[in-house]
Amino acid sequence: MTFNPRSSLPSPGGSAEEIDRLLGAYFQKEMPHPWPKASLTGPTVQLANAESRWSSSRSRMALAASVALLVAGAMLLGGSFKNPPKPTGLSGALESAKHETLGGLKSEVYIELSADGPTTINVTIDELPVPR
Amino acid sequence: MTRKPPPKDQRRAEFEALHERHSREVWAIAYARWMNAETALDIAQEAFLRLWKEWENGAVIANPRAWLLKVARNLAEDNAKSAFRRNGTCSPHTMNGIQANGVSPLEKLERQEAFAQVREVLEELPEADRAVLTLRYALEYDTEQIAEALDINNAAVHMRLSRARNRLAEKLQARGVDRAS
Repeated sequence: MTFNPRSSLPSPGGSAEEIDRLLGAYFQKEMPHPWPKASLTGPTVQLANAESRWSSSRSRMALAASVALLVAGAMLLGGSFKNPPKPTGLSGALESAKHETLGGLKSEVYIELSADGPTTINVTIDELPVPR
Repeated sequence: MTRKPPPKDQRRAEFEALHERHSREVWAIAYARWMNAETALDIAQEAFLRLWKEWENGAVIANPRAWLLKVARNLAEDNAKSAFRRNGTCSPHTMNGIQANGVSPLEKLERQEAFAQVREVLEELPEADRAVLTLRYALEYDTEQIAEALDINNAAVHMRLSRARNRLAEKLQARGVDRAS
């Protein structure tokens, strides 16, 4: 189909032939002229899909690492209560309290938290020697 | 599957022959997606460049034409977030392919207006219809050639072509009526 620039353009909404002429003229105008030759140094197209796949993969890895860190931290924290250090001021406080209330008794309290759940509280009460 | 690569000169000749035969078709597929001649040209060039790289890597592509069309479709879909770099050797494009000699300014304005209306209507059509129209009117493909390029049957080509023409006629007529009122 050739287009004669001197002929008048078909009116919009016209016959099938007119539509054909209009479309032919439009697409011929859109095509590059002259057509470029083969080139081995064309533009570089970055695949958006590949890039987005890598981004979402990194996000998932970060999320997995965070969750793993959280779980490991919880396990470590739970494990640290298996052999808890003696609460340093506690026996003194209880002792004095016990002493006052019980008259010469020394008490010590241990709270044991294990990773699998149960909490153990050990209370030791010793009778203090009576001062002379 | 690998084979002994042909000499570079021969490969280059094959590449240029492929480009001559199929680059317009690849452009048409990309144009139907984006309705932008420059973008379509970039996509077409990229598709051919990737073909060349595949050959350089020793790949054997049984059907280069199908491969190019598929790559062009994928590239066209990925284009939304892509950046293009143009080399300086590319010819000017998206210019009027019609010589302006002897065309009056009024005719030129009327032409531009008509094309703008066509463009608006085309952008409203489904991409599949645009592909048929682009191959038909830009490359002057017949029904069988369009069917082969788009991997559809002849009946589908006729249906899409007819539907697209009717839609275009209706919309252009409606716009013409709206403007006249």
